[in-house]
Amino acid sequence: MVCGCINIQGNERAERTREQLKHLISAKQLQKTEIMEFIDRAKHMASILKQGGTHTLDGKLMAALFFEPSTRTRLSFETAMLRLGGQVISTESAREFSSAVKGETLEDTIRVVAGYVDVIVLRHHEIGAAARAASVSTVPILSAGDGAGEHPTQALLDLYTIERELGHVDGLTVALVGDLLYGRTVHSLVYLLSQFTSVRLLCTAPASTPLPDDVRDFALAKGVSVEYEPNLERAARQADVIYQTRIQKERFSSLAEYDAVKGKYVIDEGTLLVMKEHAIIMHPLPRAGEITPGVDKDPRAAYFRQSHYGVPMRMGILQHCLER
Amino acid sequence: MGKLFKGATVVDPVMGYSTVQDLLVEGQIITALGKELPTSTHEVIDLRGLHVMPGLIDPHVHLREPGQTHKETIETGTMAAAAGGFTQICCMPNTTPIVDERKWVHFIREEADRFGYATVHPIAAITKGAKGQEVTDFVALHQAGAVAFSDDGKGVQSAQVMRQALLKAKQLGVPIVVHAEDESLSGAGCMNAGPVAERLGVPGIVSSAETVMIARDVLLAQETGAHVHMCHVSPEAAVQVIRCAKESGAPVTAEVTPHHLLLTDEQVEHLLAQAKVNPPLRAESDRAACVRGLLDGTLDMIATDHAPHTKEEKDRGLLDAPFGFVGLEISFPLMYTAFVKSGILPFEKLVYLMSTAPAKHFHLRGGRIQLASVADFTVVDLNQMRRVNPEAFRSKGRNTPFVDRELWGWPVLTIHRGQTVFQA
Repeated sequence: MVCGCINIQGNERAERTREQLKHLISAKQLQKTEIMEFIDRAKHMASILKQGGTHTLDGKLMAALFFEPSTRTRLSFETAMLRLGGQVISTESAREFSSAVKGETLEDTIRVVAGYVDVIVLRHHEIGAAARAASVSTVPILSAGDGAGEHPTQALLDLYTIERELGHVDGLTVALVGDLLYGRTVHSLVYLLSQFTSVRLLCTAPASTPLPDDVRDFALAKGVSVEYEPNLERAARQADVIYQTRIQKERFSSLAEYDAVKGKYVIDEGTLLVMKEHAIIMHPLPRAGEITPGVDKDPRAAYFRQSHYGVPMRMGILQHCLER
Repeated sequence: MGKLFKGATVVDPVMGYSTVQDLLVEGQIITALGKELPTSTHEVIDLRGLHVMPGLIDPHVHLREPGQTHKETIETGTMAAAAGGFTQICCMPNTTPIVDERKWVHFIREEADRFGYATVHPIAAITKGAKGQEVTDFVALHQAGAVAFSDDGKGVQSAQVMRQALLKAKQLGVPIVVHAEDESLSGAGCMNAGPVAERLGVPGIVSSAETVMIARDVLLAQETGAHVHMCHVSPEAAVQVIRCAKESGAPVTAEVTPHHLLLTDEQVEHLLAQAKVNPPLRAESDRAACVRGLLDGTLDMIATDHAPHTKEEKDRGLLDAPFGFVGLEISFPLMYTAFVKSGILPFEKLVYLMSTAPAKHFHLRGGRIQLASVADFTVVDLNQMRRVNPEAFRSKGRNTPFVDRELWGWPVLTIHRGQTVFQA
């Protein structure tokens, strides 16, 4: 080996200091080129999936550590890891862990699990949990959602969906519909869309659940146009992408208030009539009545395709953070 | 569809050999790597007779932005990087203002991303204003994208401040990049202290100005366990200190520049300020010690210390001109011609020193051409001879002591994130 003349001993010692890890905590951390890298990785992984997968992560182990349930996200991550030849340990009830019940901190749990595996996928009910985990972890942390904070891998797959379905992101008008205050997928998506040029966001939301100020200001600072358009029909006429989210009953102070707004934000066959021909409807799923089943058969209903794009995107993310 | 790069000899610096292979690039990703890949609908780029190496990585560049755009900009500096075969560079924080707040880290990354010629990894200041007193907010700067910390251009004079910085850096797992210079020893020197300085009658900089601080920071690295990376090592004694440090297990790495490997203070006699650099070009025994250090692994990697200045600044005379040379556009051919063509180093090892090693120690992507990884690579023509012509530089800086040198191994094509960013 030619490089044997390098002083291996010295190099290994320097490496013993903690490695700078490829965490994915926030969509804010990504620049346009890096977002496009993930999209290109996902495209490559989609073609690998067609061949049944690969073995590039042979011998690597992923923990899916979920402090709140999300079967879809967890299965999508697990599928991605298995399709890359890696292995998985998983729990969806980490909140009921004996240790958590006994009062173990998230940080301690992460320190322990990081000793078992090569990468941790973390879903947690508190904002900022992913960053706290990353601050103590010796392996990469991939956030699969923290409270009402962020959900960066969902946002990446959402962007991949837009790219696959419409061919580009620059110049698009995106209507964000529903609960924009607590909908963390929306926050992460806005951070990603903000990196693109001439993007226009229409916020179609009840006054009680607007886009948070810090998220809106981030977009404005990046040159994105952010408009309030409470009328779904008017938004649907203009949008290239309608991003629908669930309106959660428990977020409203009174049932009357909930009943007053919920009907205004339902996509149905009537919405299809006013939508642009090439536009798409997205939804992070699960839905609870905010898109009527009659919409499903329209080719512009992209939400089930969107859910399938999650596997190649998460394969790309795992490959990125585990490759040497 | 994709771009198919056919027939080049692909260098694997990790395995230490090179083989003829085709590379398929789709978007930013290398999606296939192998012999005789099918052409299909891809755009074919014929690279027969040429070598493909992982994109070079320079851990030590002065891009001069923000604030010193008369010397260089992020645009011209990254264009120079691409022309020199570098796809990733780390840039030093001694700009105006100093990169000691996260907004400047964001600014640099966003500017570089906008032009797209190379990936730029900002190195943030160790101390506020690089004044050597108050340590910056490492966590915030690191989150913003700083890959290391340095007060390059100046040494951190206080051991207590340096120790504090090392403890913070250890928490984050990032290197502290040491510009070793004890100001009580270096004083107002403008070149290496020695017979040449005496003949010219100018104040010299003693070797110990550098070695004393390297020794101090080795001890601090040992005590704290933090990764210390020594910049532009130049004196023989410093190489010895680092060699001992590594033998005793200290978490220390070091870089050396092409000019400290190739030139001595004799040059100053002829070139005056055009050969003025900090640390200064030293004696022949120092130069030879650096070469030995590189060969035995004491010095881990090559760094250009690309330091552009205007012609007017460099023409102010030996005493008053600023220190520094540009290096991005000629470092690979310089190293190739002096060390590989002459048979001292295997080609693969030079690529290791200029790509794999910086990637490894600064925890960056790249350093090896791999399937499913980002397509950062450089095509070189080993048989092409050209003379160094500063007038043709992309960099705003023309300040090099290597004018007119005959060099082989010029980059002819640089691919950054799948895009052609330089073509000769």
